[in-house]
Amino acid sequence: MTDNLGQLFDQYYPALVRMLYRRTGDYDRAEDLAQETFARAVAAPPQNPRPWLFAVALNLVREDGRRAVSRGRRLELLRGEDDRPAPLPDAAVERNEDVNRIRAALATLNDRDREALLLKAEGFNYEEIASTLGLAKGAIGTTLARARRRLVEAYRGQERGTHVAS
Amino acid sequence: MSHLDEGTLHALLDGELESSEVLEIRAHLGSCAACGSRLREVEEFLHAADRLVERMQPPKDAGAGRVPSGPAPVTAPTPPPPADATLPVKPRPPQADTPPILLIPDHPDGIDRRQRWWRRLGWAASIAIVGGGGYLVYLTRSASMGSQVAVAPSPPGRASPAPEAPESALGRTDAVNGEGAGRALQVQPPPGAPGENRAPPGAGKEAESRPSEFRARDLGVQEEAARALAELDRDRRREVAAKATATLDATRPRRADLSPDAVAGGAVPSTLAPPPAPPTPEQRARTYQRIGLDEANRQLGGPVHVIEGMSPLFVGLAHGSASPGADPTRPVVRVVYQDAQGRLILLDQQRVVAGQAPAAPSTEDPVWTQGGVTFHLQGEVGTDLLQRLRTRVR
Repeated sequence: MTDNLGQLFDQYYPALVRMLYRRTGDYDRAEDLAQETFARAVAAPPQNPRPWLFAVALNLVREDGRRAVSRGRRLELLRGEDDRPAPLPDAAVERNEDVNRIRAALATLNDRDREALLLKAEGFNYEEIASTLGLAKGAIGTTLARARRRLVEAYRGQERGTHVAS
Repeated sequence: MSHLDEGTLHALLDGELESSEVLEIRAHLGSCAACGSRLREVEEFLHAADRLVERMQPPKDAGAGRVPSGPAPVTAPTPPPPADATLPVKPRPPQADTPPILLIPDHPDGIDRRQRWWRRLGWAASIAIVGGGGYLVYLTRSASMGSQVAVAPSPPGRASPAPEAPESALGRTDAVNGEGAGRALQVQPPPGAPGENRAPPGAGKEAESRPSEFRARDLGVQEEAARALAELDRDRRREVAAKATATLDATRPRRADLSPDAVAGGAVPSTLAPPPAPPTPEQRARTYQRIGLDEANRQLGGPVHVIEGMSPLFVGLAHGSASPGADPTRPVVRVVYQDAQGRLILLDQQRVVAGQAPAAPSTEDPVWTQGGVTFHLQGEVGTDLLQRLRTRVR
């Protein structure tokens, strides 16, 4: 059990963290979510680990996002009492305008398109993407086509806006 | 064959189509310029999107302190590209991340882990509290034992070394001897005496080398011993003072001889004349007992009378012989007032009994009988004021 889990960890942890980082934009949060994903894998060892791990990780992101929304509402109330700006979560990332634009473009996609695109970037084939996201395999091509087009168009739109503004 | 949809083209470029499908699409692309053009457009979007996603790499320094270097991660095998060499082959991004060491949690449930950690912390805190309390009790008992032994004087011929070393202070159970106490008195002055905290030569280094609890215990033993010896010394001083006083009383003149003239004339040392204590209001009013209003009412058989507009200082009983017009065999109720100048005004009242002659008016003091009660108003004020006050007696 432990050996199998160790192999799974060695095999999928970096890709899981990377996908989660691209999904959330926060490396620490990505690592925490990845650890939580493997903790759940210890409790219930999956038969098909790769889709299972990424599916659990993406579910955790969605749950974490919902909690973050409620936290954000509370923080908004607190921010009204304190005018000081909140510290940036990752100053290094925030300084990278290009990554910011990509992330902003990625944020324009819906969850299914975005996750399909990120899973594809991690080497998932259509069958694995379909299994992970609970979609039909035949819909993955269309999903990826829409996701890629929207991502590029949103990114180019931001670039044009930046150039016009400058 | 109809035109190829965008999803099919992406699947084609991603290598997700079967060989038969690839052949069929290849045949269509050879005859359909629109689909060929669209394929190039899709290819552009595909590569652009993949490049964008690829640029979102985690920061290189992120997690550097958490995970060590290791072999490259294993990724799932990517399906081979189509056999058609004319179709573009999408370059696969290099997987640069390194796998970290797996840190398997003790328990899958994080909540249980935290609860277990808090339970351990609680046990540790309980052990620390119990241990610390026991140590405090030990220190307290040790200090009390040391103080009890230190109070006991040393045997003859031995100076009191109790404050010097804790083991001697705790283990000394020798017999009590007054002479030894006297020596101890010289060795350890009472609190507040000059040089009270003066340490013997060389004791400073020795004290510094001791553990702090021993030094604290030494200090407690010293204080207890000093208090006990001061008590003994006080008793001795009282004894000496009593003897000196007895000797002095034999030569002291009597109080009747201490007249101001005698003192002023130098016949008697002025230091021997104690300053007279000021008389109390009761002494000035010549009352022998204070009473309350209830008792005054009971004595008079009715409500006590007062001077309107004045507040009594107190109410007392005085001998009837001291009040003109009153029955000298019975006490009078004396209501005592004090004016703004501190002068006393006394309103005596006595119930008239059967066969008692009414009070005869006095020329100096206002005496009168009213309602079965004999009144007498006197005081340290003038007659005119007494006459005016009489009219205000209610």
